[in-house]
Amino acid sequence: MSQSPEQWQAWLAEQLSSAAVVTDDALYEHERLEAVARLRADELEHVEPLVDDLLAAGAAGVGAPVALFNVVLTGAQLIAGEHGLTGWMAEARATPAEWAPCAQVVRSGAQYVVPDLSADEATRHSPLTVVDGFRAYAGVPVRTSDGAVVGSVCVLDTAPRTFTQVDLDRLRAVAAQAVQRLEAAADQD
Amino acid sequence: MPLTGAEVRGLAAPTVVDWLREIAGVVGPQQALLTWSRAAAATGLHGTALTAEELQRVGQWLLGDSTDPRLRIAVRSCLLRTRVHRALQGTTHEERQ
Repeated sequence: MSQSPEQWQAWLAEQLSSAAVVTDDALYEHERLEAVARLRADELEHVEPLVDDLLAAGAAGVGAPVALFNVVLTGAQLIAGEHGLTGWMAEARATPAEWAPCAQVVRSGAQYVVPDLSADEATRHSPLTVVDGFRAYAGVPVRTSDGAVVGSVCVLDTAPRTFTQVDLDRLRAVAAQAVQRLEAAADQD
Repeated sequence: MPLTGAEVRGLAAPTVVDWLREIAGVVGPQQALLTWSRAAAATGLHGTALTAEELQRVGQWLLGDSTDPRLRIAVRSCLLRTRVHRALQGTTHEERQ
């Protein structure tokens, strides 16, 4: 379609005025996004070296094939650290927020455990379940010292399973160490 | 013809309007419009149907231009969604994680 800049601007304004703009989603909260920015948590190259070793230990401790450090932005989450990831997720290092159980962790500020993703109403239709074959999830908040929840440390398994309190404590320890490293790095910037 | 990974997951290619909605969710509709108009003028990408590569160019310009950390995060988020779609377009539904 060929348009002049003026025509294009008019079209743009019309589109935006009729578009549903998100206003009440916790993912869009200003203080939270400012915390993400302050920690540079949205920069893969910055975060990955700080957290990858923690995730390998976390996955081994919980006995799960995949462990992730996900930073939830607005419409997408950045997979800022990973252990055991392959395929398109390893290539893209992101998923849409609407597919991500970690977005639920951020919205609620609480741990989220799904022993069988295919049996849970909130996750049974997610492409990560239906297409990618993930079957179990456990995630805990990544919370800054100011209280902002910037993301989640989670594990995924390809078979239904339960997670013990010890498993969740291990994930919480990984999240706490990761935040400590990110905040120390931010203090040095 | 096998479905692509994006098709089987019901993920449509991000559009200019999708980007604007996401940015507007952070900085408000008017600021989003002003910001996008400035980016379009700077990059020469005034179209209503930008390709993924063109959206990426606009996104990179916005990251370089903006000093608003929240806006930059929304732009990074848009870039990630575009990257996910592109990665999934390169797979078929037989390929699994």
